[in-house]
Amino acid sequence: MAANVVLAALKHVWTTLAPLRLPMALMGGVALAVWQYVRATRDVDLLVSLGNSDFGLVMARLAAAGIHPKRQPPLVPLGSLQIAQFRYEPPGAFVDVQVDLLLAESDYHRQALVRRVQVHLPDLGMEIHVLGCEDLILHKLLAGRMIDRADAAALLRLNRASLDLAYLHKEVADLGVSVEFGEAWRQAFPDELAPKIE
Amino acid sequence: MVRQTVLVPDPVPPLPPGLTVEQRIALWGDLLDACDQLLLAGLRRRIGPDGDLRAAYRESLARQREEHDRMLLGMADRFNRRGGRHGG
Repeated sequence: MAANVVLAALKHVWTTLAPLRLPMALMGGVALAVWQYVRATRDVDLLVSLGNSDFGLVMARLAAAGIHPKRQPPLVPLGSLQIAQFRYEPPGAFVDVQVDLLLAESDYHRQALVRRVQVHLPDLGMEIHVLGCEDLILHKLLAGRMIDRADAAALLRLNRASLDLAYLHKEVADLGVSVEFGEAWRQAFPDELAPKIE
Repeated sequence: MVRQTVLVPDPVPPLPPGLTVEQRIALWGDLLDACDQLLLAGLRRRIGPDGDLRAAYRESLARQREEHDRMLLGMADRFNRRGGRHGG
């Protein structure tokens, strides 16, 4: 089944990279479920900070574990970010799973990784980290598609009581996503005015 | 000027309250599997009984990945253009 394939890939990638002790956090569909919102997504997207580590070491570990680059060269520079995409086919699956590593060293991304949240996944017998809800919302606002905006609205509504709104508002301003945040807020809380963020 | 967009409703209903992380991930799995079955049924209908379902499935996933890749590129682009206060 599709979900088992995605979870098997997540476990394999996570346990492959964990010994490197790089800060990393899951950003994909399972992270949404951790924050109370369920949508049928099959993404294994990880935010990773390399710090002073060599990406070649990451590549070597992944290759040894049967996780292969989607393209050559594997690292795609996108301004201050880099994306590396891989494919892994769990045993018994007849499709592979795409695994995206978002390598980011900006102040914001380092902060998001510090704020990541550890969760225990009993079915997988492991602990993983996911982005904090506020940072998941911010990434959804940056992603910019309508479905991402809807995700952000749902995350706002379902987690409102526990959100650090001061942090969220500050980062909305710093990341320049005030318009997107306002739209998501109005969708989440149609009877309220959106907070004014400068 | 404020940009107007048409927002979509939630694509799924809210979860029952009080679920554990494990239960929420199990529901995600149920939803993904159900959507996958619907996708497979639709593909079978399109390619006919003798068509190569696995090939059609892989092709469908490839299109989903292209969409996902565009999202990642767009997210990086927006971060680079707007995240100046973070030294992005």
